[in-house]
Amino acid sequence: MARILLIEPNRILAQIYKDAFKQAGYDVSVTHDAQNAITVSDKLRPDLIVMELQLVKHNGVEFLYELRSYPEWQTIPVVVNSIVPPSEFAQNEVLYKEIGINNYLYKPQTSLTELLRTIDNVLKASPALNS
Amino acid sequence: MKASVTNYQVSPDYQALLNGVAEELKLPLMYIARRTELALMTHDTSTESLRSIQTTATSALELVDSYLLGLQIAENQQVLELEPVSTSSTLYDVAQSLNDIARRYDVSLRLDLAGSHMPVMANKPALTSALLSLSTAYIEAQTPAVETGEKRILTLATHHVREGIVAGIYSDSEVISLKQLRRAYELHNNRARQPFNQLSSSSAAGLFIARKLLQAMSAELKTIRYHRQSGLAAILQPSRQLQFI
Repeated sequence: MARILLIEPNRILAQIYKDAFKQAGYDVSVTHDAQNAITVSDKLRPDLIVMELQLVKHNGVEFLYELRSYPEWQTIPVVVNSIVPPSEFAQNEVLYKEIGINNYLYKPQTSLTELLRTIDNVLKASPALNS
Repeated sequence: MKASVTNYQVSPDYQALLNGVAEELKLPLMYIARRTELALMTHDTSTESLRSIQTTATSALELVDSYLLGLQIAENQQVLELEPVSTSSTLYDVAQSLNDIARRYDVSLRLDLAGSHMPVMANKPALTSALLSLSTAYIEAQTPAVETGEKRILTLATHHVREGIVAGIYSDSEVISLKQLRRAYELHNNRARQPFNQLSSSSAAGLFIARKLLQAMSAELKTIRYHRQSGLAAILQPSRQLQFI
């Protein structure tokens, strides 16, 4: 059973995503802010991170830079499901690729079905899970 | 027949506010869309599920109404009549309205109304709307205590300060400085999507709507410390009419 770490600052949205991921058969842990995500990652050892970039107090991009500085987290797949609009994401696409964002989804227009499909595809393509 | 077009301009303040409201409304709408999708996926027709959708929609409608009230007052479409208003009873009413959303966000709401009984000069609907918008934004910004997962506690309180009578909301965990608040106002005016990063991942539109409504009553929204808690509150002037009674 693949393990997902969900980083979602809005508590009630986090609950929906958690329920949907569990329904799809994943083991899910949730954190609402980046500050604790590294600690949670260490404990949980997720196979995938699904995250919002627009966080409280800390920046999602800064979190990813920090995460990628740890050797054990350099290749973990990251799916961004964010309220940051596509136009803004496109402006910073090079940066986002540099910090290893595998997929970007625009949250307001991404259904649970599409999100789950993306997660499934990313996990299937993940070398760590397939080795 | 030609349509008559009125050259209509919303002030920059209200344009920024409208931008914030539009961003903020994405959250309840996303919640409703995803919640119903999840209910369809899991065949969940429980009362709890439907009630959560209802609470979310109600809260979103309140945000829209608060914005429109502020706009109508600013454009003098609505005359702002000031009268003696009890901050205690206003906060009590606000607390009743917040029960559902506080429960949804697992926040414990407390009332501290012992501090002041003197009425203030205000417009009751505008003051109620301002405190409701502010408090909702605060509740939605709360996340549980990481170490213990305990509920956050928010206190609605009214009390005296040197400048007047205060009515506001306080948190046991968030400390907001005046500098952070001023920076948030600047970012909001520049239409930043997340003007108050220290407090909220959203546009926190309710906070800025509250500020506008309070300004219309010549009241300020300030950072205040009260009983070892920190929060945002309106400073209002006591009603001189009833001071002598």
